[in-house]
Amino acid sequence: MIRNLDEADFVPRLGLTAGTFAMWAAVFMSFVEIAPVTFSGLLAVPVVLAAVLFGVRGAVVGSAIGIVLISVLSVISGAGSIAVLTEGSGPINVVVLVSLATMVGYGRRFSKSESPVESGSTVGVKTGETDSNARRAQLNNIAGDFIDSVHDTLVIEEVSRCVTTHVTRALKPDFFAISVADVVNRRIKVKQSIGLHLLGFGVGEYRSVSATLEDPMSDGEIEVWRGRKYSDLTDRSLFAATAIPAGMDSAMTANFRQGDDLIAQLWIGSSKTDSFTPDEVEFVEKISHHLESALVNARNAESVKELQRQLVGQNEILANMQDGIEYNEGELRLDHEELVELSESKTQFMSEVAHEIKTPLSVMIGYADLLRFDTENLGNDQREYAESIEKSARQLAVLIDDLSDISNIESGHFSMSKTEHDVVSVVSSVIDGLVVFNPLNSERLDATGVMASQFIDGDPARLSQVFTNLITNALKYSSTEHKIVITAMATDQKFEFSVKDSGLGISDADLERLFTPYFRSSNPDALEREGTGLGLFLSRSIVEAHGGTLTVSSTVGLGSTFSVNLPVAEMNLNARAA
Amino acid sequence: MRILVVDDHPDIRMLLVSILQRADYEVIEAADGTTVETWVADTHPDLIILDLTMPGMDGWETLEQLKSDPTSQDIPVIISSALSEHEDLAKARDMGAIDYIPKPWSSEDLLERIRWAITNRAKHKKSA
Repeated sequence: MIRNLDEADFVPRLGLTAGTFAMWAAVFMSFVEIAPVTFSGLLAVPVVLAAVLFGVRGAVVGSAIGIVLISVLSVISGAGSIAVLTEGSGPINVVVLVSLATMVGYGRRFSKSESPVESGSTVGVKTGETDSNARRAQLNNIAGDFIDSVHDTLVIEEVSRCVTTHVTRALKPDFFAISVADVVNRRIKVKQSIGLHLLGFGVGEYRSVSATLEDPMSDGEIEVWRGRKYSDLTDRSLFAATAIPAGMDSAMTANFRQGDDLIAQLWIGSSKTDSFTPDEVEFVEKISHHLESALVNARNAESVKELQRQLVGQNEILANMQDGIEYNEGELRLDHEELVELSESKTQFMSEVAHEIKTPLSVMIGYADLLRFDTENLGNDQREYAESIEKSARQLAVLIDDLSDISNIESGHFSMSKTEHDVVSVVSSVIDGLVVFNPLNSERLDATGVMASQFIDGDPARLSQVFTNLITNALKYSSTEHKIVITAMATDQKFEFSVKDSGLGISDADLERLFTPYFRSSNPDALEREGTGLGLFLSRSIVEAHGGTLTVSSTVGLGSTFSVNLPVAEMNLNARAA
Repeated sequence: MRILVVDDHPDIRMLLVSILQRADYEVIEAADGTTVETWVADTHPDLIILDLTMPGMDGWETLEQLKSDPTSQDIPVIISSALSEHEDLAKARDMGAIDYIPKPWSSEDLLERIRWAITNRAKHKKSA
């Protein structure tokens, strides 16, 4: 169709160019001929101009005026009209003028019949049956071209440009606007406009939605106004708001909806009253139909794109969250590492402190010991004082060892050196030690339930710590007249050691927390006894490190039974199996 | 019987001297490991009581040196240390110490273990 536009421009230009050439040719010929003919040559100017401006009629009238003027000028110049017309170059000039003017006029006419659209002036001008058919054919061509082009695109901007180009070509409207609802915010935005920039129709501007909602038009229907005056309007909304202030005297509008949503609006306006022939209205109806489906498709495509954009955005957000989580994990890992480091430095500190404290304790205990046995220089009282000093210093040393052990357990550095050994001999030596230390204990401890021997895989020094702790606890928390029953025996795959007392007993509430570090019973009778709250925690840790269990059953007022269960050595099992 | 006491704490050395002299041992003192070789060469002690944690040359190095030197490797070494970790005990035994008495010890215990070490040094040497 661009080709058509060029053709329409080309033909009148050809006419003009030919006319101009004829004019200058006549002027040139006049100069080379006799003087009076010069005038006739100069008179070619109005003749050619008349032909260019007024077509065939202009050419005829122009030629007639030219002949009359030449004749008059010839008579005035004294050459005589007949002579001018019949002699010299005069007749040749006249023939040339007439033929050139006619040629230019036919050129004009040709161009008009082939391409009547050359300015806004043709809109609504009745040009007869032939012109009307040609016009209809042209509108059909443009509409067909529009349909072809608009179906190839799924982009709103391109659909808008396409409708603008084709409507402009077909109707050459004084006012034009295509507005499309934004996919994201649903507001009506002007995509293309002509002549309406000062009325809120500038490209990229959002239209007021309320104005479009008041619009009574139904979907896709073309509303046409012709020559309506503001005072004649019954619905003053749309036309009043847009057409009148813009200076339109005729207008066509169409609204496009998708469901209840207004998705686009088309405005075509003219400053003349009687614009828009039925053919032109039909043209707009035709393109509107295709414009609507093209817009729906384009909007759907853009919605999909928008969704994809949102998905990509959400993916990015998710990716960022993932990064955040990983970062936090890293932080937590760092925190954990810092805690492990802290715990290790605490353990290190504890072991250094233990070492530093134990050295002066060694000196205290050593000298107290020397004093305790110095029968030569000291009386009984003094030696008893020395014994108290030694006993307290020893308790302090045990406490420090326990604290150091707990620190090691907490940091996972608690060490064992396991060997296969007779665990019963460990129990026996613990009992012997307690009896030697305090002969009274021999009456209180009932060790008849201790079997002959049992080999297990374990750390004898650590297990000795456990047995000592359990037996001294029983001694500590029961009165001197009560017996402590100690048993040590093997069942199928287990060695079981138990200590049963008839002492204070432990409440259910205390039982729950009995094995936690630093726990001490709230029972005032129990609190009277010295203790650090570390022994049972350490004992259970040691037993569990041997793959065994330490359990307790107790009734307040009746006493408690602590039981240690340890797996027996592989060797033993094999021996039994064999 | 002559005993070499190696400990950086003068109080501990003094205490050991008191205990050991009462038990009729002859006592030589050293404040760290650097002079041990000289003392061993000069005085030929029957037993060495060695602390582990000392500035300069510590007990581990001293023990290693004693046990790698043919002139001193048969002298029984009792470790007397406030380190009471089981790894330390096992390590000291592996390096050739005859006994390990964690501080704080009692004088009775110490003397008993010294006697045992002197009696069993030949057996220990054979088994080691």
